[in-house]
Amino acid sequence: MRPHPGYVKRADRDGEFTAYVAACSGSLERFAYLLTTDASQAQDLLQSTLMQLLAHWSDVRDRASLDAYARKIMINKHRAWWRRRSSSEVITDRLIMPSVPDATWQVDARQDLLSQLRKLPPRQRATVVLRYYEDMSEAEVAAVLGCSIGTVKSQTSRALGHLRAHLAQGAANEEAHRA
Amino acid sequence: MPSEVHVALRDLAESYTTYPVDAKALIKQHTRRKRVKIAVFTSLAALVTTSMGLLVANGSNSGRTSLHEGSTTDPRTGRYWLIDAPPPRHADGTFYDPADSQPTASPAPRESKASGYAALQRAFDAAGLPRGSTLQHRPDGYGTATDDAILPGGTRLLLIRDELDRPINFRMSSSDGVGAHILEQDVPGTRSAALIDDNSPYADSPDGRYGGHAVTVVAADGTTVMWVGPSNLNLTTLKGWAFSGAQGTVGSE
Repeated sequence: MRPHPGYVKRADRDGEFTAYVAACSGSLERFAYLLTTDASQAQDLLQSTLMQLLAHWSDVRDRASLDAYARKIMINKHRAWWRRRSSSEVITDRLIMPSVPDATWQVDARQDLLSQLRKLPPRQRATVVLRYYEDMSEAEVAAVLGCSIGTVKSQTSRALGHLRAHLAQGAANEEAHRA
Repeated sequence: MPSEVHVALRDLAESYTTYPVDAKALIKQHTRRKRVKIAVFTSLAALVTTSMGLLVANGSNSGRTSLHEGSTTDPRTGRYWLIDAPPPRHADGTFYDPADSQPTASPAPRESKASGYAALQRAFDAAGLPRGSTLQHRPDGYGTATDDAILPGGTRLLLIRDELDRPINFRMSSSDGVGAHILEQDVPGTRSAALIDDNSPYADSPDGRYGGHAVTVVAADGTTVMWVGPSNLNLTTLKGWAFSGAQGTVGSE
């Protein structure tokens, strides 16, 4: 095949990829964790994403957009996984395998937030994570998700509506704990 | 409210322990998967063939080891791009690629992704797939453009649009006979040719196992549409769709 316009030599590509992984795999893995709400799935998703990113390294002409491209791959893969698993997976209020017991309210709050995130459809979850964890603008979220800004707004509104009750309850629990 | 969500998500993410990723292992795995997974198509395209001008002139494989000035002859059919010849050998038995010293310029311009997706849409529309089939873009795919054609039962077909910049020898994918089962046929009513492969990579299986069928339609200008389906899909059916897709788009390439 004719090399792509952004073609880079393999040695250069491997070097760039290694540097990128060293610099960004942590933030990507955290992003994957928020999407999947599961550590092992997050690691699988990260590896799968990095493999795909490597395969299309030459396609990304603007190296500054690598992060956005990686997140886009991750979101698409997660949605595909979710579709495959949705027929056999049962979403529960509580995590089936809770973490090591901890008496502090912060850990409970995190577990509750994980549970609430798991209840969100993948698109809403991705929207709220991109918007409020990655601090992307609505336009940027729309670009990553491949949808309109209006869709981003509506998805965000629904997701926040769901989380609102949960966080309000969490705040009440925190007050009670401190009292 | 949004700031509370921001804080909560950040707290949740920061509480998560990340692990270092071995980039070199990923590169090694990628190299191995690439070698196996796209052996029939993409990897083959990297192997330049012998002189096309001589093949066109002779209509046979007899001159594959000698190069000819006429290799820049304009292509007239999809078969121009496909060489069915066993790989030449060095005296010590190893294989070599004569095209290393004879690059072939492409007569076809590289198309844009938009054009690639449009071509896939035309092939999809003309293929005669079951009613209710849908087409979805895969921006992360191979080639110029990649789509998923989803049949009513949920079966996914991978449609890959690409273009060759030089003829390929589809028997040269490996020295151990990979490619020996691939059939080459003309697509009736068109100037396209097709490679029909009953043992092609289908899914992104971690170990790169084969497990699918593929039909690659190569047009006279070197542009290709590859139809890939699972092994439980009848190859004749897949071929019928691919051929209909090519026949229904005659004149639009």
